[in-house]
Amino acid sequence: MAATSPRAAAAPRLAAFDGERWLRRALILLVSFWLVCVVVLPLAQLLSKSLLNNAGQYVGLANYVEYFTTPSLRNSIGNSLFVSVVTTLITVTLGFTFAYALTRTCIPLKGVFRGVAMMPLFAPTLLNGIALIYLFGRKGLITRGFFGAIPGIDIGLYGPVGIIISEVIFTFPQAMLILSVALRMTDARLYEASDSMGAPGWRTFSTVTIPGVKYGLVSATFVSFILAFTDFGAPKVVGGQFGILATDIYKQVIGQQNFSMGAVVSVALLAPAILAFIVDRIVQRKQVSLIQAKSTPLVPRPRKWRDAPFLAFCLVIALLILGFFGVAAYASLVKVWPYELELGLWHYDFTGTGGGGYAAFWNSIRMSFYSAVIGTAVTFVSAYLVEKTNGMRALRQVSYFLSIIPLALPGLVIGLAYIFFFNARGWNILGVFTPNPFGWLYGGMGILVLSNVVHFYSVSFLTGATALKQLDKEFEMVSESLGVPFYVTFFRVTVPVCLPAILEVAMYFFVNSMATVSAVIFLYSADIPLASVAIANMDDAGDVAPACAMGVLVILTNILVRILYGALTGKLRKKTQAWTTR
Amino acid sequence: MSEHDDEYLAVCNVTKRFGAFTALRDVSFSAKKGEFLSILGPSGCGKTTMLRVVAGLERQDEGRVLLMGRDVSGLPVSKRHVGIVFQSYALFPNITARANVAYGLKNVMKSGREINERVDELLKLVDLSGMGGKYPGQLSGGQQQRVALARAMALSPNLLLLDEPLSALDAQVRVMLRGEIVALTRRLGLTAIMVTHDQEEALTMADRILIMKDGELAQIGAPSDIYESPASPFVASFIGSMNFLSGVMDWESRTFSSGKLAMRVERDVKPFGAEAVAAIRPEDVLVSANGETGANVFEARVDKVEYRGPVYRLSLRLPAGGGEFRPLLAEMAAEKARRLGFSPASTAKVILPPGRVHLFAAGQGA
Ligand SMILES: Nc1ncnc2c1ncn2[C@@H]1O[C@H](COP(=O)(O)OP(=O)(O)OP(=O)(O)O)[C@@H](O)[C@H]1O
Ligand SMILES: [Mg+2]
Repeated sequence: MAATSPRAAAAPRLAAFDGERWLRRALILLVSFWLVCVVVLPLAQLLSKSLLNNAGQYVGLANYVEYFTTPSLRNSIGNSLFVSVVTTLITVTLGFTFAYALTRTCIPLKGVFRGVAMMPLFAPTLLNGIALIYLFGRKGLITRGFFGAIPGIDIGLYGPVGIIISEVIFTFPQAMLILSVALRMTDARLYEASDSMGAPGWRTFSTVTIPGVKYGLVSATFVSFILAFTDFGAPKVVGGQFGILATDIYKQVIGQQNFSMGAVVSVALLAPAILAFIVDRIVQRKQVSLIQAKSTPLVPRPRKWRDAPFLAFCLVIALLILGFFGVAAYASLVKVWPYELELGLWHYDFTGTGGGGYAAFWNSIRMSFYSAVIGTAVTFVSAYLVEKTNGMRALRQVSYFLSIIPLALPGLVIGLAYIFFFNARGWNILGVFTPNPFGWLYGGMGILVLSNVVHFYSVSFLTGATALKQLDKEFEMVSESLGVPFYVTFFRVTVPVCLPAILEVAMYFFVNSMATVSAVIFLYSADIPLASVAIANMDDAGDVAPACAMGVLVILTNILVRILYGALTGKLRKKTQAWTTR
Repeated sequence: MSEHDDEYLAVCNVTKRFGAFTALRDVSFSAKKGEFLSILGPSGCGKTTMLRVVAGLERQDEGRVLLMGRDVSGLPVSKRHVGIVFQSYALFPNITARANVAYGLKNVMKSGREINERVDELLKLVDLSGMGGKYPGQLSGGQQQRVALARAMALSPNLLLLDEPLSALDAQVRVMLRGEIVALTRRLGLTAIMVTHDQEEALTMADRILIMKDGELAQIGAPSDIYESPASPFVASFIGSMNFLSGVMDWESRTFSSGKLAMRVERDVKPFGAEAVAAIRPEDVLVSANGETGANVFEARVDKVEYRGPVYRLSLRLPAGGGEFRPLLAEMAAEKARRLGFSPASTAKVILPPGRVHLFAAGQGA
């Protein structure tokens, strides 16, 4: 049978030119180029804008001087730091306790608790603010003592209190998830060692548990901080006169059309976020080297005196979250809050309100769908090229670095940078005027999708990269040695095997694109209204109930998508099991 | 390149660097058609790198690789007609064993029937007929390795390259597959290179063994040559075990002495300086209870008697005068050891046959 070789015997010596390698090289180059175009250049444009006056003349640091000498602007830095630090402290404490209960105790209903805790991920933060108004606002449920049933209390919602409560709700699931992963990764053998030495519980906690999740704690802290520091939705609704950086940018740009000052505030918003990002990266890198390949998972054992308080805690948190969104849903159905408590769908009509009504809702769905498809494809392919290419180390590292930068970029900064970059007519490059080749994107669906793809790029990229790392690194070589082009193997093997991760990324893109307001609020045009922007605009116009209804629609859509995702992955898991069961 | 004319594969002066680190330094060897070579060496010595250079997965910095007299240095792996079996098998988990074997065939065969026939033939070859419909996860380690083997041979490669193909399997399957792989390559007249960690594997499977050390070729030869005439103390101790004694060689009288200990050496060795290391394999050391006289007979103390199944190993001490001793290991058949009945602290007569004592120049390192 070895007599006939199916392949041609003689290949020319010139074949050193290998088409596939060049294709790969070109693709990686394309990835870097694309990231430069959508991340680096817009940011550079934003920075340069902060050095120009509104007429476009170079003024050096004059804008910054003005910024720091205007008390109302300068104070926002302190305000932003204050609310984010307080939020972070509360979130990390609650998140840790909750995650601990889910991973280290034997309480029942863990799945339910986890699901409920994730709910805020599906909501626009604007809705957090609106729900708070219905609870603690001037006519709020609590403020009025359940419609006068009991004596009410006024917590002084508008200002830092409202912002902090909203941000805690917003950041809680993220911190909780990071900490759950960290707590689950700890090696059981350390606990056995500690137990065998007869260490009391609190010693084990302080010498084993806390050091074990140190990096998770750091990460949760930074993530909560960045999210709270840069969020725009909730402060917009409940911030009142309390100025923070995110709302300042919006006021400068939309309210006063002062783009230069908007750029300066963006830089102020960006700087701490980038700092936190860098520290987090350094810490994460250390952690990787600490994880042991062969650690034994810790299986908690039931202990009544410990499990009962944890169960109570989780119940309280879950009920608070459910109650919180329940009030929003209820309020969206009430005819005239708080006077006519009749239930109905009046506010879901949207006729006569600004914002675009159902057109906006469908636009959002369309936009989120495109973002999911394009974003997933782009991030997964780049992760594949960066992870699975031999050689070209420098280029791959550059691509990797550029891919995780968006993690540090607040949506507002992306939005504003995109206005500057994509709206520019062109640039003088070495004295030659070059028209903007991307200008056509501006003002359409394209830029909205692009901003979402970039805004949620890093997490998706990292999810893809992690999934790809788990594949045998020799698949590519096998395919190469069999003369099968890498893109065939990519579609026949890599994509099917990574499908669960790919679907997860797609869901992540969809859900976040539905809920986000910060980037798109600068970029949408009147003929493409969006649901999340409609919430902001209706709330501005005093149509709080329809705004609330729109928010509820967004949550319901996202929960539906999440359920769909669950069903799909369930089916997939069955199929994957067919690969592995005997 | 007339000296390579009759060589199927020739690797000429290959050097490979990773940054400042030299993974292969000036390595040359060749293989005849149908020959089974094995690359053996300690971890990190460059075995895998060597294989990857031959495969075309890695490009050497200097030197050339010739296949059938043709320089393939510039060809990527897909153009070299090599079949590769990886340590991890690297079977695609989401397609069946059949589809794995057929993976590379789609490009070269048009009709589905042709492919099917070829796959059947290959599965039969590796004794997996009827298992084609299973996914890799449903097969045992040994079966997975056979699928990987069938896949590597699907395109009738010129050269089969195996990187520690058996190291992930348990001992019994390993021994069985050893025989099967060799039989298969013999039957098909395939030239093969196998990297391994396991000296027994190399000794039993290979026609010739390449011993590598720190990126350099330490020795190449048939298993028996390497075992019988190791070129350096390193090779001697890497394959099998070896006793070493450093001392001085008197070439005139062919006498080696270490302290007061003196012995005759009758092997053919090209004379070098006086400083020398004598070496003898434990199984070449003859031990008896008493009565022997003649060349190289010594009285030794027994320190330890170690039971090793079919053989016994004795740890001995040879007096070298002035209260000094030289350690010596000896091995003998269990039956003989039982008959002689050694126990620790007893004495024994030891013969170091002059024809079995190796000599190395001092300072070659072990
Ligand atoms: N891509 C690479 N970049 C840098 N160094 C490398 C690379 N590949 C191999 N090396 C280095 O080259 C040396 C030889 O590696 P190689 O994998 O060939 O060793 P090996 O003999 O196969 O070892 P083992 O028995 O452990 O498999 C090692 O020191 C390794 O660290
Ligand atoms: Mg190796």
